Amino acid sequence: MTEKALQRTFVGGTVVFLVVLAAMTADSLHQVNAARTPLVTDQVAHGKYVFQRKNCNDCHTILGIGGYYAPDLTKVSERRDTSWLRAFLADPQAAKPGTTMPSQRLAAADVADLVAFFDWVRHIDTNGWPPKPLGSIAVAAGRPTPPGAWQGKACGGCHMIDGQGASGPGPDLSHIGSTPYDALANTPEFLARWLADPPGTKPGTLMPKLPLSQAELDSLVSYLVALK
Amino acid sequence: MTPHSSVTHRSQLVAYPFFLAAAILFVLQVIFGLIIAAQFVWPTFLMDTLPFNFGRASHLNLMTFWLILGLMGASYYLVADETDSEIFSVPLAWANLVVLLVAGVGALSSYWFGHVAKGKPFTEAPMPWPLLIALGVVLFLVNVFVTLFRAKKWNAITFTLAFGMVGLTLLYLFNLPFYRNLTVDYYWWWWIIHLWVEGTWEIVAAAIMAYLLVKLTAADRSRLAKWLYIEVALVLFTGIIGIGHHYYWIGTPRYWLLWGAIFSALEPIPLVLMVVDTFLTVRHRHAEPVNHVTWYWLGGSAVGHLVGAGVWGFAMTLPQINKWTHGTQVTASHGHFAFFGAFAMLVIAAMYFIVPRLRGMEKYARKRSMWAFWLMTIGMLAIVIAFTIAGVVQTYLTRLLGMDFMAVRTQYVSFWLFWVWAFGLIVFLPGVLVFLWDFLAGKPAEAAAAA
Repeated sequence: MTEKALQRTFVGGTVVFLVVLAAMTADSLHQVNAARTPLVTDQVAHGKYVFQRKNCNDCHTILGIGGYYAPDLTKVSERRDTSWLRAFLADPQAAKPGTTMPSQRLAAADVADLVAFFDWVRHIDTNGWPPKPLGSIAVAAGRPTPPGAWQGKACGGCHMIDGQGASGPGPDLSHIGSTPYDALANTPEFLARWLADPPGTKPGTLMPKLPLSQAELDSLVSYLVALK
Repeated sequence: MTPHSSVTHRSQLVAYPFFLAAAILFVLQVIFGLIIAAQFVWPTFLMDTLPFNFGRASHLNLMTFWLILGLMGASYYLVADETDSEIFSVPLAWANLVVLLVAGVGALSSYWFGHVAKGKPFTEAPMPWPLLIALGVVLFLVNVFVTLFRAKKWNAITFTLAFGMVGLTLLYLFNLPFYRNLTVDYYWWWWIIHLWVEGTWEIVAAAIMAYLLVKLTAADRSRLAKWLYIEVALVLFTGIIGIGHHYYWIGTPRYWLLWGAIFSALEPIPLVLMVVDTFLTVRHRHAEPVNHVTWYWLGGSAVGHLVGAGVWGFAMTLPQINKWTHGTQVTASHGHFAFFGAFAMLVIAAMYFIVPRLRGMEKYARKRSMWAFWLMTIGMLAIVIAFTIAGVVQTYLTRLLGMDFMAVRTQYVSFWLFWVWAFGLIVFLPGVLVFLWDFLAGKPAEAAAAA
């Protein structure tokens, strides 16, 4: 091919692909506005404006896009209820002492709009993103439900319950509430002491000392005791 | 600038202030990168004066700015040479530079002192700065186009360069409105980000690369012109619909999973061709490359482009994998590798070819320049490896096992970000500083040989 012919192919082909993209764009935006995202109210739009103005997106991802410094916000209104979100956004330190989230000095109306925006984002059809972790537990009827800390601390990365999780190095805990493991007690008192400091309780154990809040520790103990 | 410049046209000297600004902003970009990497490890560091989000905005914007200024400087030099004519207006080129610098300083001041932004990564600059940025680029386009039309000397290099520059300017206009719907906003935002870096910037970069290859090896122009058209055609034929790999999870229809996967899997093909073309051209050269340092950066750019953009990008482009890696440090590893390989190394190659000429010499003494090359290349490789490990660990723990994001970030990711910071500080930053020193004070190669 001559140089001229190649130039024409380059320009012509580019135009063709741009036309295809334009057609796909028209269809995509139609579907997005008609069905895949909820209706944008003025409150949601203003919440989005606040989100941008404060540059939230350079610490947090949303729909997986943005900074990897702080948690993804796509499903934040599923994880946290409205009153908690409002309290946290109004004064992060008061709602969650020790957090590295700086106070954004938001007006009460801005806080409400931001929360409305997050609730709107939760209902976007994201083709199933973020995916459910492989370690999620499907709870059978009559069996206790694992607390958030079970997933959050990835206990299933070492332990198995009802055939779900890893088969080692930790023991299967499916019946830890009725069958003690390795001559260790299974009372709530012992389990609480154990989770607070495994190596201190049994030197040489592979179980690490995990940073657990008192609430997380309590939730795990009641869960383990209920596993009969 | 010395008055005894070895340039063929006086107006080419206007490239110097563009390159100087680019080199200084590059150093600043790296410093902001070090600050935000440090914040991963020590979260309270500068927490109140420069919170992470505004440090990151500065890091990203400085990168865009210095690369654009570098590409513009190279374009002014190249267009005068290729058309064998003076640039239409040197004062207009200065106006173009000053407007962009004012816009840049304005945007950064908004982040640092006002803590306000427009809030999309890479395009954080709040109004009115985006308008000024657009104005600066339009002044550049007017200057280049009048030069090209007056000289009536269009060839493959000037044509693709102008094509890419017009494209990237038009795409930037999608940044100006406020979109009420987040999905619609991201939809158009990717037209800027993706169709820049995997489209129009690539076209501009390919044109500059072809120019440098001609200059370095006295290669057959018509052969290189054909390569150039084939490469840029394949970049756009794969990349335009390849935008679909950004439309998997943001609320856009499901068919993008298929189209994005197919076309983005083809995106590495033109990058392979660029490497083949570059090495073939050097093998069949008609002249010995006189400027070895430029050749190192150019070869490094071709390889870095393929591995950083092609391989690292391909590794996470299929939806089956991207579902897990999306929104993790895996993306940061790809971003650093690709931007450095495809664009930073190319702009630096252009600078090592052009800046000595603007300062009145053929080329710089080699020794110090090679230090800059190896420190930056090895430093960036180490940074990319640390980011990649951070990303794989993060993907495994948070996405597959479902661990809490902050627990993983503070206990595992921060360890690898420490290494990003350490390699950046101890290896990469010194390389950048040597480069700046070389830029300002490089000695002619002949003098070094005599000494």
